Amino acid sequence: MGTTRPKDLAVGEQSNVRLLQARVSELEQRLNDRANRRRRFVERDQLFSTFLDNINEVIWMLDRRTNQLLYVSPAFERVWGRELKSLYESPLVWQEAIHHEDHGRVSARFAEIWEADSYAEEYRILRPDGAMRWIWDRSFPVRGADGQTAYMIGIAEDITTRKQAERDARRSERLASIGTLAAGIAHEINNPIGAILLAAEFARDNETNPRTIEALTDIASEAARCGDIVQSVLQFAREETAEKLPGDINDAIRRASALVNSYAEEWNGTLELALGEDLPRVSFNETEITQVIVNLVRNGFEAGSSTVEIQTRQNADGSISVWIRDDGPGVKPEAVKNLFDPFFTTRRDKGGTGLGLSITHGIVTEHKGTIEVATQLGAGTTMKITLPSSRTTDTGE
Amino acid sequence: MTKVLVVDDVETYRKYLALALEDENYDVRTARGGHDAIKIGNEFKPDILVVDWMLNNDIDGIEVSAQLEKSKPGMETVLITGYPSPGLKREVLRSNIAHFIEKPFTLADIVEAVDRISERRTTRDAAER
Repeated sequence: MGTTRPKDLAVGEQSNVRLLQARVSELEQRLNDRANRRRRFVERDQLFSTFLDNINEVIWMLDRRTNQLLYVSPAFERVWGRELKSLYESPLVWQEAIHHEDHGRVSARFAEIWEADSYAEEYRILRPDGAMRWIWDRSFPVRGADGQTAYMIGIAEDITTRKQAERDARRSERLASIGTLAAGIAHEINNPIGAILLAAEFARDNETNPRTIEALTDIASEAARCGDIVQSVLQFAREETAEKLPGDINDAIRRASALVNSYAEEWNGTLELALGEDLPRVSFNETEITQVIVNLVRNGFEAGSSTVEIQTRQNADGSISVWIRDDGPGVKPEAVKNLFDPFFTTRRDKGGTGLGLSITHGIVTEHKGTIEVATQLGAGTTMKITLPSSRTTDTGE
Repeated sequence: MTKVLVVDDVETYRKYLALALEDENYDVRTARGGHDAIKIGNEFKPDILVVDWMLNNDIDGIEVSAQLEKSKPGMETVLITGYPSPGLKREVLRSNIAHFIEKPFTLADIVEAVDRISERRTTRDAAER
């Protein structure tokens, strides 16, 4: 210690001074410790806030005493698309966002949260921007000193991506089994249909009564129509993969648009192309992709669109997207999930077989691509096809 | 008279194809399978072979065509198939098969294909003489 001992102090006084000095340094030490501890608390608090601010899960805390939300993490704004402030102002905002089909179940379970001592529900929410999200929400009890549950800590997670993947997998499975069944039937009836066609034609060619000729012509043309359906089913269900070569997707689109121009005229519509330049090459089978484009454009015009636009663009990851956008009446929400199912059609009365989009889906999937639908009643439908660049498909095999 | 051999494992197909071609004044024989077709064809020596690709558990139409061509050089083939896979199309391109008709076809499709081959042969034969 740097203090000098005063020469004129008595021995007893000198010892008192030493005691005082020791006491002071002890107090200094305590103050230091407390400051350090507080700094650590603040740091930990900041760390915890940073953590809560940045995780994608919405963390919430419910107080048993008041049954009020004590805390909701900022991720709420990202997932729910609503302001956090609005939730503190009205806790109902949380439940109001829940899809009406899930609302009853979820609020009933949430009302029992203290009796059940837990809560775990999957539900859909609707964001103000109209988007739907799947949420997995579950809670864990926090016990007080008396061993009773004092709080619930909950985690609400956006599982939309996982749900979509599950749905896609289920759809592919369903399509595959329907395909197998349909192909089996198609194989079996292909020959009988052909035989009906030949017999009817032969009879017609050897008949002189005009009314009988007309009847036989009807038989032949209806049999030919059955034959076309069978061919579509066989194509939908075929297992052989078509040969794919790297090329410019715009070539296939130009070829397809030449084919559908007659449709456009027939429906008094306009087909517009907005093709991206210098697109990277993708691997595709030209016949199949042409068929996909023809199917989608024709669907657009048959639905009553006046304009169908095809747009192509390169994505950041090197894949290519093709948008087929129409200004038709759009697809009803309940029909969207069945859109790619074989034999699902909204135009059966106008001769639709419901195979076009399932074949389209099959071809795109077989190209390791994806197809997405965005539709709004009264505003039109956009089909987006994304195909991987030929480089990624080459290395992927 | 141009000789046509019709090979199909479905009886109705055989019957009406034969009847329609006979109406057009062709000399027609039929066979129900691949081996049957080779046996009949070796003796009949058709100018034109109309054959289904898939013949119920028998050698296929392309093979029948290749075999019969040995006993009747210059014979031409119309191949019928219900399953026009890319693999089959490639195989057809490599073979000497002149016509490829997909099911369902009409009698007119077949008669037309046979007529075209027949006319071409007549013109060529006349030129050679």
